[in-house]
Amino acid sequence: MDALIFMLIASGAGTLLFFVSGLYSTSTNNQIMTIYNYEYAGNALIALHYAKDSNGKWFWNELKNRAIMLDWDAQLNDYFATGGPGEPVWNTLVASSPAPKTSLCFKTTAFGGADEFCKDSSALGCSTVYSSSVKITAYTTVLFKLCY
Amino acid sequence: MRKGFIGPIGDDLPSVIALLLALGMFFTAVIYSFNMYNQKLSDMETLKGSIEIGRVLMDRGYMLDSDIATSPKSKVLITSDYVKNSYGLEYEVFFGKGNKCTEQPSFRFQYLVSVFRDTGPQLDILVLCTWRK
Repeated sequence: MDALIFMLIASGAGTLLFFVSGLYSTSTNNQIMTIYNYEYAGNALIALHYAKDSNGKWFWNELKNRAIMLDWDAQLNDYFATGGPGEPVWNTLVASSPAPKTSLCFKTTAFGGADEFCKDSSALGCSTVYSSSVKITAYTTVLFKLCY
Repeated sequence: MRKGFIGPIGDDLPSVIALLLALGMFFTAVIYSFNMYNQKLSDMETLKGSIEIGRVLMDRGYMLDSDIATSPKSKVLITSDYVKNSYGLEYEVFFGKGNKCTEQPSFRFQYLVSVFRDTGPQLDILVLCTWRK
């Protein structure tokens, strides 16, 4: 009887150890990956500062010019659309992204309310978002988002 | 001598087998857990080191093609080597997502980077592959 109780306790403890170490080994390194995602997003915004569009114009300046127009969201949409000057930059941005969905959002307060235009790489939903932002005009902020 | 008596242990053979089985299972689990813990710790160190190498590479905000040249080694790569050595890692870095790592990497990270070339700044993808020595 003593041997049976000992066997139950020892094998139970062993099973528990197996289970816990299995969980530990399959756990994701989320905290470290969070650092990578924020660093990627910050670096991407810096890289965009030096980017030129297909017309050879500075990407950031073109965005600034379009962001102050009355039809700013349509202007930005055309800029990134297929065949638009900003399309190659957008495609490289999406290709480099580690996330399944990448968004470049523009928030402006120039026209009264708080309007937002987003260029998304897919229609997927997001459970976790890592973002980095930069102000390109007095009223416009660009948000670069990585969606998982 | 009593009939059927094998000895103090022999008489209790079923209990001994159960005890040995339980002890065997317990110690196997302890060794397995220990190995798993060490493996995970090593993976996390590799990941942390990889991100630090990436941080060194991206530090200036833009790059030149010569920054990833191995002969002569650029200042960026020399600095990255300090990080690599402190984590016991090996790494490879190149431009362009389509290229493959020469070794089977533990981690492969991508960064968007502006590369200053003769034709002017070009957006490119910097790929960093890392693995343990």
